[in-house]
Amino acid sequence: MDQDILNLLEDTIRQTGRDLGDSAQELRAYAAEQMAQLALGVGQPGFADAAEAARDNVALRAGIMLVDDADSADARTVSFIQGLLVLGAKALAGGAA
Amino acid sequence: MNTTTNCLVRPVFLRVLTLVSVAAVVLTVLGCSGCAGPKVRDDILLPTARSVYPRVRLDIERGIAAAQESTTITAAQADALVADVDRLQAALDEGNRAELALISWAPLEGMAVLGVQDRIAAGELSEANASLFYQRIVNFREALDRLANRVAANIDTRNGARSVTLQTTTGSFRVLSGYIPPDWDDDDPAWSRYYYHNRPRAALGLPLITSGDFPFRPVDVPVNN
Repeated sequence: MDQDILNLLEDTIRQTGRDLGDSAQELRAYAAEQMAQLALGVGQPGFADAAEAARDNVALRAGIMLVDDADSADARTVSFIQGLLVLGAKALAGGAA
Repeated sequence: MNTTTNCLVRPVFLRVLTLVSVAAVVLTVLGCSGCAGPKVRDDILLPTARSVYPRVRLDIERGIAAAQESTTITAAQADALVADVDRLQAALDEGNRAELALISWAPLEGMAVLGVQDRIAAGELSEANASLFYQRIVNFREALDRLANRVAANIDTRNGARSVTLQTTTGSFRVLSGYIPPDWDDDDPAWSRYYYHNRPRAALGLPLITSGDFPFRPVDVPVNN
């Protein structure tokens, strides 16, 4: 495996993985999968472009994971706020529960 | 303050205190983390998609040229696709997610796949290396789906079999449905092949590929505008 490509992928993980939390491990696995696929095409036509595609794939996947994580967090937040509003409604009603 | 007054005022005071506390917590939560999804879309996924698009665009343009050369599409269709390529570029540059939602990606995806296939045919790209290109196209689509809040696929169970509906855009969406046997394996790569080949074909109004190693047959109208 070309060391430059390895470094490139590692850099992408470092840059994007900082905020990934639990998804960081999943992203590392995805990057490893990309590298394994890239290894199959060493010396074949289009290898340099494929390396670029692998880098793009890791970067896109990282962004997608972050969005999914954030959406989940938002859903939890909305649920929490709904609970608080119910509490507020009860308080308005005189605390009767 | 006498005892009677104290008894009347205290519950009211506690209620107000509770309300103020609840309001403060709600406002804090809203301010801190209520909009994480949109922020991550704008700050992370959008710039990433923007940086990747030039290379995906090359695949699309290659596909348009190849399709036009082989008369798979007319000059007018090619012009419309090129216009969408430019619209997509502008939407990404401007960070206009609403505009992204209105662009029909599926035909562009079809062209991108054709572009990669054309490079393989020309000997510029091996099959092994092309697989990473295909994955980039799929990842790019998934990124666009999230940026535009689009639903990419709905899978449900009916009569012991599953029906798959792929929604490609929010504006005038197109649908591809198919019959999947009950023992379908979601990880079967054949599903990916079917998806790769037929989703863009359906969007372009081309006949679906139903032969070969696809383990199920499409039974529904492939394109529904």
